Amino acid sequence: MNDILTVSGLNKSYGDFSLKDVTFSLPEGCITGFIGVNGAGKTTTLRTLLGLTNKLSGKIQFFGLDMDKNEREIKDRIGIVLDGGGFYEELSLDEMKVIISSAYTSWSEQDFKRYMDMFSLDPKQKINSLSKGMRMKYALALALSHNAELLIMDEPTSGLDPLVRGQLLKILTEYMENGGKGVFFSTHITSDLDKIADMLIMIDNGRIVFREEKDTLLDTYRIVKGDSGALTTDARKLFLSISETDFGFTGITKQISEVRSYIPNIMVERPTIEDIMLGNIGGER
Amino acid sequence: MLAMKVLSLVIYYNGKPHLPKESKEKSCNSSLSVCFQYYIDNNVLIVYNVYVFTSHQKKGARGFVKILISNTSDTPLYQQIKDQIKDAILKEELVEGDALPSIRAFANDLKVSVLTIRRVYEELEQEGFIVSQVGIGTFVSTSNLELLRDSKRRLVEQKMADMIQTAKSLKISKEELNSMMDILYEED
Repeated sequence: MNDILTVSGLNKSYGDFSLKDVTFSLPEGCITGFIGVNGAGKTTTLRTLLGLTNKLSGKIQFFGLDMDKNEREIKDRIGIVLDGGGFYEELSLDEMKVIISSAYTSWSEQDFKRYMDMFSLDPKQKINSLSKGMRMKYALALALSHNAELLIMDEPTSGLDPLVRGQLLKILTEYMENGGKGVFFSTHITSDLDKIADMLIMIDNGRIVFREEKDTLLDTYRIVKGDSGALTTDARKLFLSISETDFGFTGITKQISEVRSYIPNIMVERPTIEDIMLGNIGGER
Repeated sequence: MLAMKVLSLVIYYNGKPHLPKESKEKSCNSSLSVCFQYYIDNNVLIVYNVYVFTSHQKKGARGFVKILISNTSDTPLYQQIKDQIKDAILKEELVEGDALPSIRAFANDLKVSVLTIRRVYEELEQEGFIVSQVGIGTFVSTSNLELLRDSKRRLVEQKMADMIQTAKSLKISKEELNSMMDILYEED
């Protein structure tokens, strides 16, 4: 199984924020979620990967090709959906499409029409008349119409209602079933990832926190609920984070067997991805 | 269409039976998944996802296989799925030539990662229970009968070992254990 993207030692600085030694890879055939709180570095990482902004150091390879040497060929094979879209507001959807489609070698007008119909978008409409949801759908239609092997999206679902989010997830699943080799999208709406992600990469404060299969994460972490009185100092060390009320504590741990031996009467549940993300945010003890 | 329905799933918690408070059903052409939720003493939420699919057979659809995934089990997800498929094969609910769902379809229906199903299929293939043919699909292969027989024996042996350990710790003698087994074996 090859990696569809490898990043090593990526460093970038923006004044008081920087990406520090970002290293990760995306396996082929997977939907990978890129999670982190606002300001953690998700957008910066994606923009740097795509060459939209300069890096200080580091190596980026898509499909085994070096980004420094093969930028054009690589970009031809990637579909992107970036927040806001970067479109010319005064143009119609059709006019914008003419500009964008000319950049790609395998543009498929048939696919584009199909998606425009599916999303009920009027090609004569002006871009500045689109709602947020329609904008994302338009960007998606463009991204899916040039036989892209990899889809990269930055917060595609933020600001969208649950119905539209569900539709997007369905389209991503179909994309993977129909020859798509990978999807990489950043989000802080982790409930979407509970449903669809195969692999998760978390970033916090410019550093990669983990890169792990979703199910492995769900198997490793546990939510523990119990009596606050039973929390000895030693037991506390076993948790990534704990919240306490008068009625008891709730904590998340990776060492459930040790916790069980320290505290006998507890309720144990599997976590959600949100729980795991919150437990891994720096300085949350 | 799948002509069946999972009516309910009774679970035992602390020895007491419980019926689900809520259930959500989703069916498509060859599979049915139901999510049952249980509230114990108005407190503990236990969730069981029951997933049923028909094995496509030359003789026509038969053999319903159910996969139960529990959210309170300590066993890793891939292990739960793998053990239950293996179980279905050993019990001959799935037989030679039966088709398993595609990796992505299976992952979507069970709501697990494709990497997990990939691991399940890889390990089952290594252990000789299934065989995958590129471009065609994944099928049950019981051609290695020795292995199958061994696995069946090993399964029972494991349970026997557990049983013997419990008996010993409760100071139940071998004779008592044997007579208990004689009675229980006739019961079903």
